[in-house]
Amino acid sequence: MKRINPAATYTDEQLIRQSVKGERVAQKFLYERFAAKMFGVCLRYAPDYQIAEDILQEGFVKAFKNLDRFRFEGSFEGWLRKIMVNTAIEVHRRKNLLYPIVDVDSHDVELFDENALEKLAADDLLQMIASLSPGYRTVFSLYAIEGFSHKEIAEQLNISEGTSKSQLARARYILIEMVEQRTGIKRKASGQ
Amino acid sequence: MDNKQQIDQLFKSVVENYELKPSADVWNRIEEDLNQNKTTHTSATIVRYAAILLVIIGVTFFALPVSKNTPISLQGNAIDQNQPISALEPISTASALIVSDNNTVVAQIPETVNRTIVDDVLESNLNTFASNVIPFHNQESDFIFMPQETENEALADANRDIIDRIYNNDQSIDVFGFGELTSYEDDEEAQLIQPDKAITYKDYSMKGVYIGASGSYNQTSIIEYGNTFKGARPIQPSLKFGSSKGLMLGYNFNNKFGIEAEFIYNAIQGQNYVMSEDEQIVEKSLSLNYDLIPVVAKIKVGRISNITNMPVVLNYTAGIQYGMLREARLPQDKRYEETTEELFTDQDLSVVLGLEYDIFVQENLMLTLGTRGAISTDISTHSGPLSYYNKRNFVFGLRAGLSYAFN
Repeated sequence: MKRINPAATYTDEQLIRQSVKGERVAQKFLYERFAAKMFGVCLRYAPDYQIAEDILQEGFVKAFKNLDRFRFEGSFEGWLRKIMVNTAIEVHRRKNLLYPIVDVDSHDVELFDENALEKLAADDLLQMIASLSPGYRTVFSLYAIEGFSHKEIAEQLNISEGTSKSQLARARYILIEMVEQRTGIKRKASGQ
Repeated sequence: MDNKQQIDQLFKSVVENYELKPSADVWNRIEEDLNQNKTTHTSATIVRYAAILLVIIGVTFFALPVSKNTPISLQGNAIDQNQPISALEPISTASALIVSDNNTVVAQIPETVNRTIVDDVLESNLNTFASNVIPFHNQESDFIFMPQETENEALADANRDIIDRIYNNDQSIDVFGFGELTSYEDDEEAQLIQPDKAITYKDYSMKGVYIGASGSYNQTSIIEYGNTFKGARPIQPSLKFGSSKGLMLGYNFNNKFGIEAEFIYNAIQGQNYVMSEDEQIVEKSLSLNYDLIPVVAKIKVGRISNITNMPVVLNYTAGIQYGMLREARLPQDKRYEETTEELFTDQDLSVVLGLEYDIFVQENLMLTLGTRGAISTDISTHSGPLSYYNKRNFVFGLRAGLSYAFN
């Protein structure tokens, strides 16, 4: 007999409305529906799985507590993602992990060979992000993946725009080195 | 594409939609956190109820105008000339007051009123007063005893002045008692006037039987010892409200103590909850219908309301309640559809605590408003599945009644 996943029979909205009432089963269904995606978000801001799970846990608790504020105007996934990112930022701030300003001349990052990049799996890239120091990791993820501006990052992390820029540059530089190392492929010669 | 953009794009494209299942433990931790919040929420609710209750008590006690020692009306009413001055209501600051014989007025004269008169009186030689009368003076007021017959002209004038004021209902002068007064105007014969004593709660004996009807509206729940809300089938309790009606029979020994029995017919109690059944989220309602007989002792504290000029009594009630289960229904829960009644005992006892106001609307008719809570002995028969834990009824609500006193 074919077994239907019960959670799948509810729409997001149904689950959200039940969850607002504090119904645990609905909350669990909702969690299960979005946990993997949100864990992906958290991983970009954490050095390891454990801290990513901490962020995930804190984010979901926060989301459930504030669920009544979700007005069904945008996508729920987007709302949840925002909470996760904010939680990651909070955790980051709380730990005060921003490294001191490292001013790096803006290196001209050179193009990779497209083939080299295809060899890299998401796991590898996440591993690279994870290995960055907290400040670099957070700035890079916010800027490159979430699409924050330097001004927004500066406000969120309580740093100057200049710091945000230099940390981003430094992060990129380190990531490129890592990609090179992993793939064994050097950058193409600079076009200069 | 810009070089920088390229590296950003690389990571964004690969990482943005990356999904990974977190360890199963994360949900348990989230649930734990949410349960903690829930606990706080429950205590917050209790605190809220308690606060509301305190506010009600406070407001009622302080907002209800309460009669003080009201000035005695001087209008009318002759009395027996030989009747001695009746005992005065004690005045908090005037324990030394001594009551005189006939022909004497005792009045409280605030400083704002003709201070000269008072000073004159006090400066007068004590001997000019009747031998068994002394003037009394405290910081706020002067209490003077005014014999009508005196050789001291100044004092006689002062007396006349005060007596005139009393006759003219000068509200600033409180009269606490007197034997007889003579109007000095027109040289008329002395008029005898009977004071109306201010009524106090003590004047009501309340002794006697009363009967009445009551109704209540309660939040009901079943407290289960141990834990019910964990495990494979999470159950979440939610609010259930029930009402009941009853007949009261009470006896007051005096205005301080009373006892009251009540028969409450078909009180609806039980618990609502939410659970998952056949993978669906469903709301359920366990209904326990009881006939109840609470017997409570009452400690009464009363005062006289200025509005009704009748007592308002605060009752602290405590007692025992006998409960007989009429019916137990759990229609929506497949597990117990047939066997619900077997899960609960036919009889139980509860401890009852309450706080109630008796507001007299007529001399023999009182309106009761208040709050009561009751918690029962174990009502689980411990038969059937999931019956390991003790279960107790917990009921908390508002109560109103109307009763008639035979006294």
